[in-house]
Amino acid sequence: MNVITTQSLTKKYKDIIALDEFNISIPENKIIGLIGKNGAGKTTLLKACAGRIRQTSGEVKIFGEKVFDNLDVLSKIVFVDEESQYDDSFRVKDIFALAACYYQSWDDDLAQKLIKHFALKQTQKYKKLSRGMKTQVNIIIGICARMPLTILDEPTLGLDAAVRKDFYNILLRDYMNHPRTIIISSHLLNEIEILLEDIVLIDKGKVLMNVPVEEFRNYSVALVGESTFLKEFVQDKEVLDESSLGNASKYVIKNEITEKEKKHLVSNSIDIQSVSSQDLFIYLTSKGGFYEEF
Amino acid sequence: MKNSNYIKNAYKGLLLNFYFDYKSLISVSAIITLSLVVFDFLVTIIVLQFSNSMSNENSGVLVVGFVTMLIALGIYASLSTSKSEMKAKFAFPINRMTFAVSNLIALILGSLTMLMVITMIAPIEVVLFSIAAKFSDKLIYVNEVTLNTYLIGFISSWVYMIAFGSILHCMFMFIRRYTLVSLIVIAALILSVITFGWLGNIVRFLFLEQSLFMLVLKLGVISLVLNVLAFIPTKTMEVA
Repeated sequence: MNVITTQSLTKKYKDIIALDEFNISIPENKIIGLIGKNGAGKTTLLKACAGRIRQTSGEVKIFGEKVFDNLDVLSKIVFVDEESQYDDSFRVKDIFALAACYYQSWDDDLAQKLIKHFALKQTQKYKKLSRGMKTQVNIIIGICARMPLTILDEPTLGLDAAVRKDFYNILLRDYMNHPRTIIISSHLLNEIEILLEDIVLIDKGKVLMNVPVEEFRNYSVALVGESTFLKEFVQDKEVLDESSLGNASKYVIKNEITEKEKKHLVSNSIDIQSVSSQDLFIYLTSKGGFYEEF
Repeated sequence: MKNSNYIKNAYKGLLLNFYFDYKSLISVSAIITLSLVVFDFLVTIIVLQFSNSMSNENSGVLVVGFVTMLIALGIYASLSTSKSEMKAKFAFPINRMTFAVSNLIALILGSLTMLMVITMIAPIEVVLFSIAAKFSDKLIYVNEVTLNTYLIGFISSWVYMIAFGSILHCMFMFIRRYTLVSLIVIAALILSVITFGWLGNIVRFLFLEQSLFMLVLKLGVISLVLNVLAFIPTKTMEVA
């Protein structure tokens, strides 16, 4: 069963098109990474899926039903916003008391452990918390709500590297014990990659790619070597990025090289390198040519 | 079919949310009212030193408390409809209907609690001024409140507070959603009431009533209608 299905989903803000005829299907019980540049439409998509905004046209269905103002569906979703989203005048303990009321599957034991782990003061007011502490409150709610659809929009903003690592471990462990559909949007693809099963790459409000993470990792290769040879070799290939220094060039191409071609490259002293997911994300979503202007 | 547990959870959560809102609202208003009572007492004591006689009525705190609570309710109505407040409420799984119904329930219970708090402060005024009157011949303290007048005042204040809260909630919901149009309509309505006598009569007919039963009935219906009206901009409202 698909948890999220969108059909020609379009969202416009005046004359800006945030989502443009967006089509996607997301199956249940997977951790999905939503990747895209700033302004690609990630947050708009997540807000539409969480029933926070209405689409201009098209359709978004969660668990097979329309989501906007539908309590049956909304009660199966927890949405952790990148911005602070709870009442500023409330104390931390009040916010957790509310979460315990609203979410049927709320795990209070885990919440208490995480509050202790993150050393959050429960009597402190939400507005007095630092950016990182607010994020910690948000992610505790995101994890402990244990909703069938957990949406985390930039969940690690303001956290230092050690706490981010903690969060990834806690999330993964909880997911193993309580499988559910988790969507994480993040700029830090290299960090969240180990959590993900599928990657959805979006750009300018459209889906560029929706593939298993292994397929994404193997999507491209980098060829490094003598410029003239490589230039001729990549003529009929899809080049994602190219750079040169003196007589040597580096071409990042779509990984469609046959075994025969590989042998041919190696015999001509061409180095075949893997491309990190983070770099691939940049190659796929950048126009290129920017640096040449400087 | 709707899962009744989801609805139950939404109402439970929302009412707890409104309880937190009203708790701080009532606490602040109660402190202000109490401070005014003590201030009034101190002023009376000081003035007594320089005057020959003075009288005080013990309905003072009830009026002061009522006005303070009305002002607090007005401020709350304007803040509670703000974008950030709406976002905070809709951060949890609720729908627009549960929000609207809970808001009305919270207004009814919140106003009741406010009046009960004022009632609890009233004896402090009575005790303070009774002690002062006992020790000074210059002060005459008049106890105007009887159980009957108190009950009538309590019920009519309650329905007025609910109606006042509903008017402001409805007004601010429209202003937040359709700012310019709403402001023009409100300004036109106020000018019309001032200009045309018959409109003023309608307002008087709706909001002033000798019979307590009729007053409760009229203000109850007005509050209900205003809350239904406030639901119109809420129905399609985005909370991003």
